[in-house]
Amino acid sequence: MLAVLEFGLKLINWFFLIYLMIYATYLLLSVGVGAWDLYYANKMRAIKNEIKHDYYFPVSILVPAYNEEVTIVDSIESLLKLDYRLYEIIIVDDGSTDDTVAVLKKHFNMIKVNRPIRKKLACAQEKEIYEAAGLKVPVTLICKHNGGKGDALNMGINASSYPYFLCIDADSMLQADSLEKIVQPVMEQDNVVAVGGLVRAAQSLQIENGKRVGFRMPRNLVTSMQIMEYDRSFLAARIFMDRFNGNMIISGAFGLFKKDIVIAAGGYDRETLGEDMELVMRMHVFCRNNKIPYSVRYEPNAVCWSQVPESLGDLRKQRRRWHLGLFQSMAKHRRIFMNRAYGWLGMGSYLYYLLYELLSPVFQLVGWVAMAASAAAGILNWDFMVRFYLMYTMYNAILTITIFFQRIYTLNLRTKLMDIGKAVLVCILENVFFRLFLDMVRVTAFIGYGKRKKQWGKIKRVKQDSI
Amino acid sequence: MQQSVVSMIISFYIFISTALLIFNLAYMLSSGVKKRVMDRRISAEMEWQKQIVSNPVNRAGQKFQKRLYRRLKDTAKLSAFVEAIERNRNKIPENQIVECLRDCRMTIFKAAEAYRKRPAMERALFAYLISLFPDRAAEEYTRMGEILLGYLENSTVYCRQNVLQALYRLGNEDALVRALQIFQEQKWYHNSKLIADGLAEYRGDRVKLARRLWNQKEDEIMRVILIQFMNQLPEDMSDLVLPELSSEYHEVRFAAVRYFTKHINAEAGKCLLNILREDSDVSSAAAQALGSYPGETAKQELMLALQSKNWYVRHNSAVSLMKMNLSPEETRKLITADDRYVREMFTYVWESRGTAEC
Repeated sequence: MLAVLEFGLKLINWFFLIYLMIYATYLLLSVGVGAWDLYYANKMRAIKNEIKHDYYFPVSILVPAYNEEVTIVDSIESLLKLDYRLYEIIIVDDGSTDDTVAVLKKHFNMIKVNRPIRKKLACAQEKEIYEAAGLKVPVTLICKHNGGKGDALNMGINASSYPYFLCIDADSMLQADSLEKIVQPVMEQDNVVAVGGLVRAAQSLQIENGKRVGFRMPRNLVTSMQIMEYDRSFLAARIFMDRFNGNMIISGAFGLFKKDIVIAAGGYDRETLGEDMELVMRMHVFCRNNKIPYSVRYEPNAVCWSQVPESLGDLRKQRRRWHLGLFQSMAKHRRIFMNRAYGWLGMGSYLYYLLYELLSPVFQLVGWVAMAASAAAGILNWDFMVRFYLMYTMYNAILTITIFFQRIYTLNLRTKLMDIGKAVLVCILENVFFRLFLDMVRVTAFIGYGKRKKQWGKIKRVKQDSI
Repeated sequence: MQQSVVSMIISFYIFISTALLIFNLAYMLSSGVKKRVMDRRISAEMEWQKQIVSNPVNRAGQKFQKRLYRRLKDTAKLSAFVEAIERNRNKIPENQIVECLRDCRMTIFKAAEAYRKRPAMERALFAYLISLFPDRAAEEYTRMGEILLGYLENSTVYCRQNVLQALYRLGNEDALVRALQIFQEQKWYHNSKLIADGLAEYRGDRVKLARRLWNQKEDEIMRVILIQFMNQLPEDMSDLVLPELSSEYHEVRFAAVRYFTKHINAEAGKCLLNILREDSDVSSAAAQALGSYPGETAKQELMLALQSKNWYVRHNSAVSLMKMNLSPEETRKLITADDRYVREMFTYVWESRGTAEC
């Protein structure tokens, strides 16, 4: 019996070590590729290798909102300051119970209209529609019955007039050049069906009139650690996956989509928590199945600033939602897994998301517990285990801070020496505590799954100027 | 043994990641320094450019021409040179620039030849420089078109775009026609709007260019581009576009319908009515175009089109009807129509017009 237990522990240890080493290799590769791509893109821009045109194509910006009275006006104001000639803004209020509609109506002097909306995609019924006159671009507010974020986005697509739509969260702000940047991949390549932008934490931003004027590391540790985490996932992993057309997710906070393909693929899933990921996966499947040449691109120079949760409670809610969304999307499209017909998506991306995103918290937890048990039972020596943990953590921290510096110079951010010191410290803390916390949240994500699987995540927001 | 292997691998990874971190730090610090150096170089370049344009005697010498050649041949220096030209725009009288470019013609041609063998991204920079030349100076450089055509070999989308920009500026019709022919032969994707808008910037005779390009078009994409281009010209080119209203290609028909929204043509008006009756996707564009063709027949057809199952046809028909001075009786009839589609869409557009006027 003991021998079997010992064998089992050894097996887990070996599996875990190989698992971590593969991840370490992946991380190194993705950071290296990310660094090279950003460096190359900067160099290209410096010597006029970029498409510059005063107007590209019209875009509908969709802003789904649920109880966003605090941030919605700032967000829409930032959208009205975009350096782009032709676009429209459609706000879809998904049955808010706060004053979201009232603040919008008041701030933008909106007038009720009887606008007929064609329902190409299924969504809950609209209650009232308002339009604002005299602004830079048409702004429409659609108040509808509650149906979830995917449902609200489907309504936005139904009401949109233009061939491409951009979805952004109601608590997000775009830089003045963000829209121009995110449409550029479409100008460069004819088969682009979706483009994801870079999402960064708004708490680190100092912005005036849509222009970034500074960058800082916030005092709040929870926020700071998320800044590091966002940089790692948006600047390394997504650039790397982009090379193989393997990005399975475009953040709901900032993404551009080709409308006819989205409609043909069935629009947003109204039953899934991770509607953003599910849509991208479905677009991959739809295009592959119908033999439509396509690419899903990532544009790191198109930046969106989104508020991240400031308390552990809010963060837990958000991450739980994300993890359940990941599970739902992957379960729904499980036939992609190791399916050659889906190319890199099936053989690489899906496998990565399965092993290193969905199952990662379980593997991490079981792995470290097994290592500790092995050390206690004398199968593994304590010295090695502690050394391994410290080295592995140091390695991750070094790569995270590398990405942080990459972002500083590619975005041309001005930052103080104190902020850099803070960033180094936060990197270490993030790798020691924050990841462990997130693993715990994700492991317990399925508790109460049935009850709350269609709710919007409620997270405390603050006005941008009071951050 | 196994544990030491794992430790070794991790140590190796830490070493690489530390090297990556050091590289990034060094790059970050050096890019700050580089930026300052570049700013200083641009300022110096701006001063130098001001001096040479105002001093024709100096620039005639061999020494100066050699110095200029070295500047143009080195990509970093060329980058500063280009930036300085952009910043000096409106600061130096155009006459002086034209004179200077005339005097430096041989050197610039020599540099352009040298760039033919350079990577695509560097060729793109040189082509960009040519695209900045003022119109009157560009006349002296028409022959440069042939050299720029060589830049298209193994090129990137950015290089192609900059070459096209330069060709528009040079006004070399032959080179531009050949360039677009190469685009079609190689089946390179280049956004149609970029080309159509670019052609509208062409310095030479645009009508002649349009007709010549029309005669050598090979595919429907080029047809769409050319119709979009012709749409931006004040001259009437209906004779070429009219047959395209019955094209088998959806996008070509769309472009043709849009053309006749701006360029009114009685014959096209009849075709637009037929397209509207088809009740297809193109009908929505026809409904919009008919707003420019006021008349009883168009009005009656648009009223009928308000019953279409296609939302865009209904919407555009309502918008076009609003341009047609409907009588109060006609307006009332539409607002109180039995057909819900007609009633809702017309009421919305009618009310929206009121809102817009407020």
